Amino acid sequence: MNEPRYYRPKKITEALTILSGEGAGARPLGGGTDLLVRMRVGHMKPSVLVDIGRIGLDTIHPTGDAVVIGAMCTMTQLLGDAVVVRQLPALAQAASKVGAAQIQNMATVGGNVCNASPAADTACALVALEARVMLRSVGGVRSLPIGEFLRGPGTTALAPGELLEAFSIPLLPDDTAAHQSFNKVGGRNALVCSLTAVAGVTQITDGVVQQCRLALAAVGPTCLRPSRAEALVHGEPLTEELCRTAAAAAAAQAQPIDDHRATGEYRRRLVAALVREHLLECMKS
Amino acid sequence: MSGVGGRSIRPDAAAKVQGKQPYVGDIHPPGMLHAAILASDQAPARILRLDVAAARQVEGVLAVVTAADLGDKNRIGIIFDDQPLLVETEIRMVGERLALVVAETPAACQAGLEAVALETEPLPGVYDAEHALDADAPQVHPDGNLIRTFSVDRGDLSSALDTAEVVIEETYRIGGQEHAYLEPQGCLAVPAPTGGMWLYSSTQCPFYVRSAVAKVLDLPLAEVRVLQTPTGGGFGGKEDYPNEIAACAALLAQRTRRPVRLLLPRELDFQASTKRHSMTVHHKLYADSSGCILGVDAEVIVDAGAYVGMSTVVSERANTSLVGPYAVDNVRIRTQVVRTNNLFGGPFRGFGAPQVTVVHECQMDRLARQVGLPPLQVRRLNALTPDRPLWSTGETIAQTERLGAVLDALADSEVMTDSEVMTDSEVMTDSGVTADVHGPAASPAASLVEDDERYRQGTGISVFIYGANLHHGGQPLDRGGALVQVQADGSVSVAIGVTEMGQGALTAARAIAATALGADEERIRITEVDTDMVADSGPTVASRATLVGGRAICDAADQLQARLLPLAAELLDAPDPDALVVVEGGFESPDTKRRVAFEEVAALLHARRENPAAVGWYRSKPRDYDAETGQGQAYMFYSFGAHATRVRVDTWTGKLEVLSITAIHDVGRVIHATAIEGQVEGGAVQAMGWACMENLSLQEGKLMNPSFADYLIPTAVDAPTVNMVFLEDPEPLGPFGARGIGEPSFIPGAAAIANAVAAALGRPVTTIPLIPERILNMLGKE
Amino acid sequence: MSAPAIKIRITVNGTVHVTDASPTMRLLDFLRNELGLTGAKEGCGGGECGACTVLVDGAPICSCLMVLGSAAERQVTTVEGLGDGAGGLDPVQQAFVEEGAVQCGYCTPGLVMSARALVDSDKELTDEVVRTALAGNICRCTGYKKVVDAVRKVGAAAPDAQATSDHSKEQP
Repeated sequence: MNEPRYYRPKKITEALTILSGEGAGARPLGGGTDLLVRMRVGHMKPSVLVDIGRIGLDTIHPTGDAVVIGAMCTMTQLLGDAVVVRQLPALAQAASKVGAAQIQNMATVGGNVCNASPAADTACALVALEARVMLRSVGGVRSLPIGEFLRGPGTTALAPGELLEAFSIPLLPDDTAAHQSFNKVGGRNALVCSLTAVAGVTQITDGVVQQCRLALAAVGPTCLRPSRAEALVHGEPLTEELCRTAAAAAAAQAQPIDDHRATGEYRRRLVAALVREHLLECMKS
Repeated sequence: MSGVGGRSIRPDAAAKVQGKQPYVGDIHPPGMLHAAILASDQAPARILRLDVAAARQVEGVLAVVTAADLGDKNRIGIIFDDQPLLVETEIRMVGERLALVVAETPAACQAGLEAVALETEPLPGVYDAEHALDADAPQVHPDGNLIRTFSVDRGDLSSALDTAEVVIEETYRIGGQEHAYLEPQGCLAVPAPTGGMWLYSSTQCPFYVRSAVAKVLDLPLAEVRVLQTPTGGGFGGKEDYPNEIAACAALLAQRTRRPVRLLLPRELDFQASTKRHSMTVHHKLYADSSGCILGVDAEVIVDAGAYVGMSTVVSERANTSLVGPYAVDNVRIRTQVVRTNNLFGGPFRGFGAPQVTVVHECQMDRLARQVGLPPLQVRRLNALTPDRPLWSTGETIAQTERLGAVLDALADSEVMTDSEVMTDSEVMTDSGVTADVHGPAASPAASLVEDDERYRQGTGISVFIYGANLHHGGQPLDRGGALVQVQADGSVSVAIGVTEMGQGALTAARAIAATALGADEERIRITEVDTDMVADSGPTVASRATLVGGRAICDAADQLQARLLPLAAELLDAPDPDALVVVEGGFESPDTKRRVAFEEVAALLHARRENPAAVGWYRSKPRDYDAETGQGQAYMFYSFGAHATRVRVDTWTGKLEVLSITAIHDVGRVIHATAIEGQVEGGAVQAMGWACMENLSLQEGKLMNPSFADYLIPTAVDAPTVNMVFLEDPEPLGPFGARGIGEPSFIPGAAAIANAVAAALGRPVTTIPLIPERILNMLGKE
Repeated sequence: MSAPAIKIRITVNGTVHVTDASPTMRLLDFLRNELGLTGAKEGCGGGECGACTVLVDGAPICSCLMVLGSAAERQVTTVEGLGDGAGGLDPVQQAFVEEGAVQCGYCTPGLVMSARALVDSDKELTDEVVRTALAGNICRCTGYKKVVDAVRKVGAAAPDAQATSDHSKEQP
């Protein structure tokens, strides 16, 4: 019942100093939509909360061949940003599927990734978009591919005292936007955790797949890239048959478990359905 | 138009939209203490050590109570005396109360809970109701796992067996449901200055709460006063369970001599409070080749959980309702109510009828396909009619033309215009397996509209009969009162014994009072139940609020009119008071058409010092019924209704979307148009949730999804459009001809969805809920 | 290192409050227990039902998932802050009352706040837009139809916009 101590720094440098000074019991508080739930049920008992809601990190700006999205951007911000909506529709679609309006107004993209839930919607999109995470500590900055940042359920490469500052998302040629999607299946149409979700980013030139990146959520310890499915379509024109075959390959690479929400076997079938849906959409568009 | 049939603004609406309505969690009297429950997270288990000494020492904790402190007052069961308020030695269900803590703050309560030392020894449990009666099943209580068997024995089933040309045999597994009222359970107990106890309770049944608290505190009923707080949803979940919460709060208030408030955290509410019963029904339907039903043979297993609670009476309604609105001469039903260590089964909107409605309506569709008739036609063929009015109880159902009218309305409904051509005997054989469900439709079955390879649509119907009010077994409770006072300025105070829980009981009662008295509806003040104001009116369940409250108000109004009419006649110079007509806002002389306002007559009533108050009373006539055979007059009267529902199934993911529901209800008389629409729209969507997504995931009696994040109920983007048809053939026994609608609004919902899914997929549906994974499994391997 | 004692300044329904309350107290508890504004309800405590919805800088949020410190220096609007301050209803509240969008009422203040924020946005209030905006507010009583009708009624400029129901209504 000991209440955590609370800091609300105004600069990232202040936040980093506090985090490194307070040690392991300190947690950054972003949107709070996950942390407060975990604290309430006793899964997490931080001794210090560092509220990072006033240190900035909430801007979205294109930098030539990439878009840099601050970790504290809320889902609502992503949905209202023209660059995200136009050029990163997979991310926008994922943001629109996080909770509902209230949660979207609070939850941040950084928090959604740092929680490292295998079912995290925006993390799934960012994996398909091959985002890099930009990390900062009092010692300096570093960046990692998001796939290396996410290590397992609830586990990331974030070092003690380190903050996730931003994502850098490489931009693809303009027409790729038409071939991005994020689809999830849950037990209802909103306000629901994914049973499985699939993000897809596919680039097609002259009818041939130049590259295809798929990310599968809630079917492994972290978001998975089904490399065999991606390889199957690479360099090929999409056909209904190929979509089906690639979907089956993706399903085979999924590593789902049984839990109270669904069996692994069902999740595997969802992977096939959603990968096929993505590829068919690409084929028809 | 105001009064009966109108659309007046409900009396509590403005306060509710402003957040001014004080729910129990909003009330905070000076000196109030907070209470919390230490609940078991496993069952069954034996308590080896329950040491609360350290908890009592926690700063801010005033008392910690266990069974050891309660002696012989530790009993809470309503019907059976099998349930302790606090566990004595054996824990039988997860969420069962081990100890109560009362403290100055919620944080101190929590610290107190954490300071209790508990050691338990796990015991073998019963988690599968279908095997609860096996010889080697562990015994939940020493007297065995069979609580009771209900039966229907009518005619001679062997004759049906001999002549049947069609036999449809299936086992249905129907899941439970959480009420998910938005306001969790709660009670505030305040020691009365003069020694009794006042309870501010979120409840459907204040008189149950009063009895339970009187028993636990060993107080006379007159010393316990229950003031129902605005109740944030009930649906049956606040029928009996609030007794347990109130008894806990009252005990702690008695010990500390201070007000004590107990609010159940949502997770514990999910785990511990009552649920719709899960049932397994093994059903054999015998028919001839023309589709006429010859007999029904069914065995029902009802999972009661560890304690009886209201499970017997819920099961009795399931038992009686299982044949549906059909004339069947030969019936044998055995309904076994069994104990397990699963969730606590209890009342939930429909009270056992929705589960068996899924069964009889799925069986009707199977019969239709087997004999090559449209689903509606096979129902018409077997429906109760004035020529064949005998129900499975052997009683004559009155006015069965109403069922015919429901079926006609079904035929007229928009969704039926295309599905009625569905005679797809080839599409689904009786085993329910089609040759190739993924291929193009083999027959011109209109129900199988395919958007494309991926999505399939289907329409399903369901028809039901609803026994109004309490079953014969509950008749001793069936009475109720109203206190109506005409004030000198023509305003009216009404107190009733039935509760408002959102459904609109106050709105309906006010409309009835306005029309019965001729008073201005806007000036009638009607409040939540105070047990000191009105005599025990039984529980507000079984769609009886409008019936009981309405008839008691009408009785009071009749008494008052005997005093008001002569005065009105005097003011109108009319010769015959009895010839006056009660009109909106006053009285009219039929000869002169002159009117006098209610206010004027009320003023004269007071000027003459006549008694301006009346106590109205309602009770039903005794009925004959044999509980052994299930034969006799089970209910007071009956209503009918139907749903026609259109669904779309995603065959890739198993996701089920309910596109539209047409709800047809034989309501007798619409008392309040907005309120009845709200009931039907809400009931249909709640049933949709049960049918499609609400899945109680249990592991050894423990609920694995005790939150709104994981136990999913419909949101605004899940809810379909509900079209409504109200048939108004007045009920002689109902106030102004009304029949109850609360439960009927729910009953046909899941059955129609099940039939729609079966039609869409060409596969039989045998289970509820139809969560996506189950639908995909129905389709088989890709 | 010790956290600095923070005096929190927060504006609730237009009134500035400076408080010593714990910055890690939930905003919901601050509103209900410290300010006595009990309109926002606790239905789940986990951001899953929307009964505790209030507006922070005009945006609906779950006040059970925000600590008081995060709301500091911001504008909070609760259901008590709607209306004309003299008991008169806000148009959203008025529409809920007239359309019969209220049953048990426990979810109602949260729904009203979500609806208020939506009406304040520049979105066209189609059925889909309204339903999406209300998806974070669970209601177990109404089936949502009358709630959606009420919100669309507020958004519609035409005076005959109330004819949204399937069958004839007699408006009082």
